[in-house]
Amino acid sequence: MDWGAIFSGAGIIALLNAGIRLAMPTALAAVGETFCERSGVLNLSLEGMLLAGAFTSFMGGYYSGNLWVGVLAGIGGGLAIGILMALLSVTFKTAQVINGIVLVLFATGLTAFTYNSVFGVTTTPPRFDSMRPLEIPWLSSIPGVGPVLFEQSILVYLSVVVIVAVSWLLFRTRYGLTVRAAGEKPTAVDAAGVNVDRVRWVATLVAGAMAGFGGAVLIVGQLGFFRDSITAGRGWVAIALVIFGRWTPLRVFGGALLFGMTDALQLRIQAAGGGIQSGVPFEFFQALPYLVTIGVVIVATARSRDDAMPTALGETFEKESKTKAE
Amino acid sequence: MRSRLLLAIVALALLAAACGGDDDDAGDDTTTTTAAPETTAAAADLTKVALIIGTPINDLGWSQAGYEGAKALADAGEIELEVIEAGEFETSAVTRVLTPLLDEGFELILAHSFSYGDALTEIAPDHPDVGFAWAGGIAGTADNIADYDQPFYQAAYLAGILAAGVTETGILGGTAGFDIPVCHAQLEAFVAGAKEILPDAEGINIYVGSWIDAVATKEAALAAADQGADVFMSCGVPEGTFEAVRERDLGMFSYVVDQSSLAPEQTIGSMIWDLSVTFGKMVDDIEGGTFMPGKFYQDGVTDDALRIDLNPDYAGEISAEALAKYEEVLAAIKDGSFEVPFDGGL
Repeated sequence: MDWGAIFSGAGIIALLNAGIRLAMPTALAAVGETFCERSGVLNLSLEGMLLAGAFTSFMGGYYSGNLWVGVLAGIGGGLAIGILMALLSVTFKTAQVINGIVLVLFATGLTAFTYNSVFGVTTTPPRFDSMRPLEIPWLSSIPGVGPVLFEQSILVYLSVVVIVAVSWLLFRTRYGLTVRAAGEKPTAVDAAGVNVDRVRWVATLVAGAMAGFGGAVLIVGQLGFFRDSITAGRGWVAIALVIFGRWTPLRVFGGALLFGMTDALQLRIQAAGGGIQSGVPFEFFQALPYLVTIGVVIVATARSRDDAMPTALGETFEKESKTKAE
Repeated sequence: MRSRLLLAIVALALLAAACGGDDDDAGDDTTTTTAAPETTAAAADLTKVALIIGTPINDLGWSQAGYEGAKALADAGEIELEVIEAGEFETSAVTRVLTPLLDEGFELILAHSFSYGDALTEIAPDHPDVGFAWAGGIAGTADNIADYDQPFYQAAYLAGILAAGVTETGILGGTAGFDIPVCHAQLEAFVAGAKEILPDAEGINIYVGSWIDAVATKEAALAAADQGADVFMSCGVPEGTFEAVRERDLGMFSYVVDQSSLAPEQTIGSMIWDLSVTFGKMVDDIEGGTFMPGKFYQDGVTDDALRIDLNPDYAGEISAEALAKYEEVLAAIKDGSFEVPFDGGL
């Protein structure tokens, strides 16, 4: 097989570019989920948030003709599912796992139904031109890193900014401390006079907005059209990546990049003729990103002694005084 | 406690909404598309046909090919057609959709998916008077179950010849959801056809691992393009592939129906699957009482069930040598002097 095609200078640049494109929507969702889980809410509706964001970003971009309206609409779509999730899980205190799964089903059905109702029978599926990569002047001409880091869609740069900002918020601010405390020991947060439910509401909305943005990156930044279940399980991968990254935003981001890179690599290995002609079943290549990720998780968990999972993850918080009143 | 009650109600409502969405889908579609000529005197004599598809009739692909084939027969006044969009591929769900039809006097049920085979096997024995057909492509027949083939490889071979008259790199790209025989044979034949003109032509075929992940498909096509592929064909995942072809301004052939709307300037031609040929034969067999035992219908280029439609705007860019070879091989396939090699993998 022709490894040269993949690992030549131009090949590596193309590979890294593809890896970043594949990683970004999942990375956004995963980092948002990290923030949310840190507050104690196990948000399994992530796939629904991504899908809703993908759908609304398509509708926004298609009808306005403005890609930025599409991006905002995508964030709004993810937020809408986030509101439902917070309402059920935080305000009504129902089982978070069930709420999440119900909302994924809800978003899957609603987006497919609405898309079919709006566009009906047409043999020309609606589409728009997705955002073109933006070459940052001067920086993009740096040999090697230039074309990889500085020739992406502007949404990719924004994603990195958002991810770094969320990480900073979670670990470098007082508010972040409160969020983490709400996930570790909500009673202590409550005793300090902070409204645990409000913190969890905000954290769930952060997950919704970021996943919605991820859906917009997928549609506005890459495809320009919508299909049923277009997110194809990226939300579930993102939830796994949170565990992989041990609830630390930047590690989760790293995991998403690793996953995206391996995915891009396996497509290129197939393309280089090593896939089908070599007699190795193509399923092996498709499993590669998962195998690598699982491998790293095993190594990472074996080496670290601390239990990174938020102690109160998935538990609803009931104020003690309220319980007594009942 | 009140909030608990409220939450339970909301959760139930959401659940109902989620499931209801699906039901609405099926319910809607059951009633939307009755493409039969409504009330002609002959209506009573027309063969009553139901077409079951898993995705919308305008999916610009597999289901649309089935719909257009059956609709052509209905428009010609040969059948009374009802189209049911099942929106499902699971056997139990499909069985649920199929069962009510059997009390409505349908004589021929066209189950237009490989995945519907198990459902037919379950239902058909209990309804020996009804003819069933599925898109197995594996000669999976029974007393009242016919199977129909999808020899896309025959048309792909012809497309490959034309592709050789367009490519600058001599490398063709192919994408498919999974490495199944129908797709494998199609993509291999695409390259084999190109070798008629360019003996050194190469193919880069990538299996994405999903029929719905358009982003991964686009990346697969981009990966092939990065390694030199400049003319594409897809088996089952054309949309993401077209998106990559459009972005890089390469060339591509449509899959199953005319998909040139996806990239008008990059579409070289379309591989058209005209199912009115096969469905028409089945209807004739039902009317003539020769449907049973179920046959394996294998209609390809010879029967005009598969053909290549060229994009008139692109025709000038195909080399004269390739066009001549295309006509020559097409004629040879039709008169039986040439048989396109089938390589289904494994």
